[in-house]
Amino acid sequence: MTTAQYRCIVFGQITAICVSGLVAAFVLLGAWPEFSSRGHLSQAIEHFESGGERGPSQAETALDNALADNSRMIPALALRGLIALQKGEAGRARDAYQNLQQALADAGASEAPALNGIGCTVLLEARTSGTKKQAQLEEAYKQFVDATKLGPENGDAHVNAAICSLHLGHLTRAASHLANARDTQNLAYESLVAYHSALGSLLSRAATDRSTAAAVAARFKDPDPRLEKTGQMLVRSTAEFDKAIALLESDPYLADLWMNVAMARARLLALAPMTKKAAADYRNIISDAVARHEKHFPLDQRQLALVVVALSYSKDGEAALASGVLRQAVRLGKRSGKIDFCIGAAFFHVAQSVSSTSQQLQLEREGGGHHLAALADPALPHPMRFRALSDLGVGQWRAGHHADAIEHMAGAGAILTKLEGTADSPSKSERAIFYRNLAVMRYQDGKVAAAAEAANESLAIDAAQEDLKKLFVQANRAAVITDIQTMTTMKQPPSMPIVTAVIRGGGIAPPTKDEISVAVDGDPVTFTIGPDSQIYALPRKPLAEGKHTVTITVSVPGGAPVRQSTEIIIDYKTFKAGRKEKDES
Amino acid sequence: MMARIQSLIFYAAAMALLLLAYHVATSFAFAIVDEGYRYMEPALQARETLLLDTRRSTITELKTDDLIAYRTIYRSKPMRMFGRVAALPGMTISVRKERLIVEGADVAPAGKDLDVLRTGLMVPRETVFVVFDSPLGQRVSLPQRLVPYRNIIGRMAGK
Repeated sequence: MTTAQYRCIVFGQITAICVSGLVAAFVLLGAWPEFSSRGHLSQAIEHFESGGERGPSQAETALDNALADNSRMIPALALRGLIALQKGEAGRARDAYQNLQQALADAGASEAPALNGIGCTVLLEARTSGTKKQAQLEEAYKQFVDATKLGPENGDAHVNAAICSLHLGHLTRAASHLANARDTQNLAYESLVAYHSALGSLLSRAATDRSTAAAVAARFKDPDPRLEKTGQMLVRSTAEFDKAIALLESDPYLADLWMNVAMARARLLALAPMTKKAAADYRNIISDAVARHEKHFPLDQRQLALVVVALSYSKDGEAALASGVLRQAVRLGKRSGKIDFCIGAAFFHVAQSVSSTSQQLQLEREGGGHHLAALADPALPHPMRFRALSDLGVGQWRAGHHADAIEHMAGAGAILTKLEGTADSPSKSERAIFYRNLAVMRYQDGKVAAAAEAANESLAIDAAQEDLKKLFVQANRAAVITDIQTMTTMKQPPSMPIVTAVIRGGGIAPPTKDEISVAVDGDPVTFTIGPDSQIYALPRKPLAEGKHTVTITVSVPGGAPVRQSTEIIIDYKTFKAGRKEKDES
Repeated sequence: MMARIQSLIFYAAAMALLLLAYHVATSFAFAIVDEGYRYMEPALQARETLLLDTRRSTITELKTDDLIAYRTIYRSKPMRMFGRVAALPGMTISVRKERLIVEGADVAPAGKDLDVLRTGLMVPRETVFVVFDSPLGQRVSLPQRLVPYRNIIGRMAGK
């Protein structure tokens, strides 16, 4: 090789290297912001996911750096919005998502994630607003629906639309959105948690009413055909809450979920038939949740949950534990009228299951105290007011304060009259029990006719009360008169026969002497009541031979008079022949 | 002339080798199973060296039964774990009679921690659900088993 050739080769190599270096520098510098921003974004994600108190702040700092290099970085804008939502900063979240919307539009991509984020921001604002809440919920719902139209394959917006619908009270609409979310098979982790939480809330609310449960089940189209049954729906709601709790592990919203699942379990414990073991498990879960998450459970929810646990103990025959739990509910703190009513009613319910009279009276006294406190609340609904007065009446009667009892029962009766036939009318069993108690009180007070009237009302509602029927018959005391005949003895002249009859009253109390009258030919005669409900009547004056009419009348209070008449024949010749035969024998 | 051509070929080959080395270095990695990590026995033994395919395309195209390495926080500490992919994004997992069911197929035993899956759970977007070969792995909680793509280090090559 000559020197010139060698020089050409070297020159070419050096040129190639320099050109390559320049190209590399150009590429690097041009792509550097992108690489840098990606690096900052990775840092931001790492800080955000590490959690803790400083995590979000450190993530925001990294995001600031990332957006400084690339202000249109879509993942960075989305993460900024998410962090702002978690911190509750609606203004920053709105800015981030509006920038995201612009960036997506510039990139020609679907704006669905941005609309979803703006909807979440409006939802956040709705939580803290007062009068504008309804309008903001509607606006948030509109954003989510628009997002679902732009990105139907993304389930996150459907979940958020379902949450909005739940807040607005549109259960079937929420069910449709949750079904659509499920069918996309495309949910982010956070949306999956929200999905199960929303589904739990939906099923829990729908389970209060059969027609609503059926409508929601039809819209949700779950593979389980039993879901339309309210009991099954409530059980499923607890399963959905459990899933959301399992997915969250530790999160500020976990306490809300614990509360929701505990209250759903409380409803199941109150309403669903279950084995003793299952009931014991539920009681433990509820009591645990109430104790562990005390700070996150509103006071009235804790008190209600304990009332349900107490009633469950009572149902299983554990009256002492039941009353202990009720007293624990009382010690939790100040109670509203409704809570006082529930506690009072629970004490009365537990009192029915104790055999000791003194314990029963004690429990009824405690229950009565709570009922009086409830009645002092002017906002107490009428059905509760009726029940409280009714219970108080029973308690006071048993304690011997009859006048107070009658007063309470009269108050309850007045409310019942107003409520009957309306949507607030107490249940059949409550009304039947009220009239029954009233009938017993009146009967014991000697007001038999009034007792019969109340007993009639109770039996008209529930005809299966055999013991009340007995009382009813006793109160009516319809008499039956049989076997009216005359009896002659040697000691009595034939003109004054002894008239006998059997008089029986309905029930266990036969008619008294004052309630019976015997007349011969219209003239009253004296009589005595002997054994086996037999009466013996003697005419006041001798009767002539021939036909005479004996009339026996029984007039008992609470019933129509019963009258029986029969003809007797006075025959002197037959009497004399009989006497002669006897003397000869 | 020949020398120039040889020179060009040499530099081109050198560049190609450099690029190949860079690609291999960024697409694959070695990982050593930690001492005491027993959740994947007998498939993986402690201190075993594994080759991981760390390419993004591999991670987004994972299949069921793939073995993966991933980062997680376990008992408040960052940790690298290994598991077997049982369900992909959008699949439904459930538990019936202590067995894990994925899209109707019985795939693995399920521990008590997974009892909440009785009524089914959808695997979230860009996430896989992992199981562990050893019975010791049954104590791993549900959130620990839902591994997002961004936490996956790579798929085990050759396993």
